[in-house]
Amino acid sequence: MRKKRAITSMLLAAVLLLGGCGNGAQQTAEGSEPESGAVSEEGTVEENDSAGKDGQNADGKNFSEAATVTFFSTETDAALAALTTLIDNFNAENEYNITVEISTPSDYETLMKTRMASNNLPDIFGTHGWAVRRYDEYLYDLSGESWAGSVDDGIRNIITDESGKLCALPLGQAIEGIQFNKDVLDTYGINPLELDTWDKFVAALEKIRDESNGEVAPMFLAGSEVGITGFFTNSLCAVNVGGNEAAGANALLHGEEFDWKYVAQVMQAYKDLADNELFNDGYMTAQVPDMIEAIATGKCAFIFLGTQVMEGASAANPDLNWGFMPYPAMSDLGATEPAFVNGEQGTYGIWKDSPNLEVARKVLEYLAQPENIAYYCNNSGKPAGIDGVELELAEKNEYYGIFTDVKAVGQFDRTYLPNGLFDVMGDAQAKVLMGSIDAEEGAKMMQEEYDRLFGKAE
Amino acid sequence: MKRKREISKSAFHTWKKGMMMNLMYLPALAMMIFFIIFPFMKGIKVSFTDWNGYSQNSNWVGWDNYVRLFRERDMISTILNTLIYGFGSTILQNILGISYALLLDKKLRGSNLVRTIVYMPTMISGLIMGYIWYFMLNYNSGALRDVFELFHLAPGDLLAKGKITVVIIMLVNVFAGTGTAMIFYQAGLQTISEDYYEAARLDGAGGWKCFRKITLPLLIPSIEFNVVLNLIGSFKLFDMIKSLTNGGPAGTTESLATMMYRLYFSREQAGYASALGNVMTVMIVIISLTALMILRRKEVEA
Repeated sequence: MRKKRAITSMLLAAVLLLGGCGNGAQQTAEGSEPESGAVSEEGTVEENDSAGKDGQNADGKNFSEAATVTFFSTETDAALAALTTLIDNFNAENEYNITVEISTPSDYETLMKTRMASNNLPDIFGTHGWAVRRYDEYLYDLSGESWAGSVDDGIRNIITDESGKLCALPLGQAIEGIQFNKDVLDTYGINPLELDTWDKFVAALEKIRDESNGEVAPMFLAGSEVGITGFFTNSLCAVNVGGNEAAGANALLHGEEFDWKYVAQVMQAYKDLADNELFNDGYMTAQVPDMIEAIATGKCAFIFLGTQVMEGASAANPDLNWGFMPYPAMSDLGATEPAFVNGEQGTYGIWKDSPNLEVARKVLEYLAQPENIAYYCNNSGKPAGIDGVELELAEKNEYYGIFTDVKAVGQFDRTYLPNGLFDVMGDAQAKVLMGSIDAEEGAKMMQEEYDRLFGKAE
Repeated sequence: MKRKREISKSAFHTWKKGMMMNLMYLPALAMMIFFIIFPFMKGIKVSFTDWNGYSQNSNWVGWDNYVRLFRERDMISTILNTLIYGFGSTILQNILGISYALLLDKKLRGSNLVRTIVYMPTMISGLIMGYIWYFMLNYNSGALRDVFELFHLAPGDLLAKGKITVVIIMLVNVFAGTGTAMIFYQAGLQTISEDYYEAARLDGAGGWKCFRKITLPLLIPSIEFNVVLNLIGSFKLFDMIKSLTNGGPAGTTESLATMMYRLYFSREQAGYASALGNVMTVMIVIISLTALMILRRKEVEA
């Protein structure tokens, strides 16, 4: 009996092993056929897709059957409310019998990665900055759409891949800089419009440190998250390495010679901020909610986060007086122009294997209309992603109207670095801040990973 | 003829009974296959590719991922942390568990209440326990900071002290897990007959000698069970670290499990993460089996 059991269990293991190997081939076959009646997490059910298929004639005109479109979004607060209103209007008004079900799952990125791995994506989903870098393989080409020609140039490059495929519809775009609490700046007599170089910026930080007696942190860093430390480095590099002719960052796109000392200097700049006590106490272990609370209550002056977070914070604290400014130029690196960092904000793409493809295109077409873009952007505080849309953002917050001539550059890691390097950048910067390695070593960490990934990609 | 039919009838009944038993464990077997064995096999396959976790395509890279593990910058520090989490938690949890069980074995007034209080942390999930202690330990607004200031102490940011923070996380894990150990040891103590103690007392043996010569040897099965379970659980420690320090700052409190999570989801290197996972499995198996063998040899016939 024992021998029999041993043989049975070995057979079972062998079958499973083969099953594990064979599944790879199976998956690619499954991927080309749309799944029917698939149930997605978060309780959003895709209804019977045969109805949607009726709408998929070559001319896409037969929409008599009802169709349901799943719409995943990462938006929150005012932006989500605006988007939901637009979707509700579409559901009520459209003559194609389409119902869009919008949902905002938590842990969006992990969920999307899992769904990509099983090739079962929602019909429309937000790409939150990763349209080309991550979701490209799964996105439908939108360059033939009626609105494709009006996409704002600032964001067009960011959401178009190397083959010219337009990956998503940009409802808004991100023009990110440094956010600050206006009241705190007024208390210490600092004018944000004058801080166009890094030295002036640091001087302002020092002024706050000296005059506040430890009450106000000049800058707040939520150092417990590798993502935040990385974001700080990423943004300054975008302006002072990427946007700086002298650094020659274009070499990174082709695997050519690049002097990583520029990155090392950015990392060192942060270390200097930390050493000079210009960060909050306990900056290595603070978390993002602490960061938001600090700026909302005036316990810190400047943060590097995002305008969307500030919009959310000011909704919770109506007394909050906030503004934003471009990242200053580091003259030590040869950079001369301060700049904002451009990025995706409210971008939505269509799954290329969606059974409701034609239907989804109609939804995006509706959202791309100027009055809808204007409604979304005005309510969420974002510049528009489509040209020719008049906005009233400056009425919301004067700073939307002030820095209109400042240039915008793409985020450093998304524009110049292969995928997966962001985590290394954050990790390296965190180690530099902790003092376990020096800035040159940190840049070297990135260089090693870059060489490894680039070698693989080629 | 009649006999043959009788024999075959009873044989059929035995076979039927056997089959019914097999049906009973089929659901459990099915769950094991789908949730443990199949993903494990898939994980082994993935570890030989460069899959990024979400693409439909991947390339075969052979032993590359495993070789890279040796060259990973933080590997030694992370393994050391994992050993501290694993062995530290196990040793302390078991010592405290036995101590509590012995202490509360006597029917003293209030022993039930104390037992309940000691057990309560076990009912909180590891993630929440981590957040609770984060609110106490964090530098900016932690409760403990105010207590330290009361005594004019300034230990600084307790969550950013490298190996000291690792020990602190390990202690939080012990706090959370001692209740379970206590309950198991209490059950174990119940199986030891009073006669042994009476006989020993008649021979003039004191408390400590009783413990060493009677209690401990007869508790070995419970110790085996607890130690192996604790080792496996503590080596895999993830949720508490995630909520307390997220493996930071700069990876100083990372365990193999949190590193694996980061490699998979942040660095988008699913193949590499799978290789780490497999190595982790082998490590845990070796350590647990070794512990089991050592303890088995100490087993005594009652």
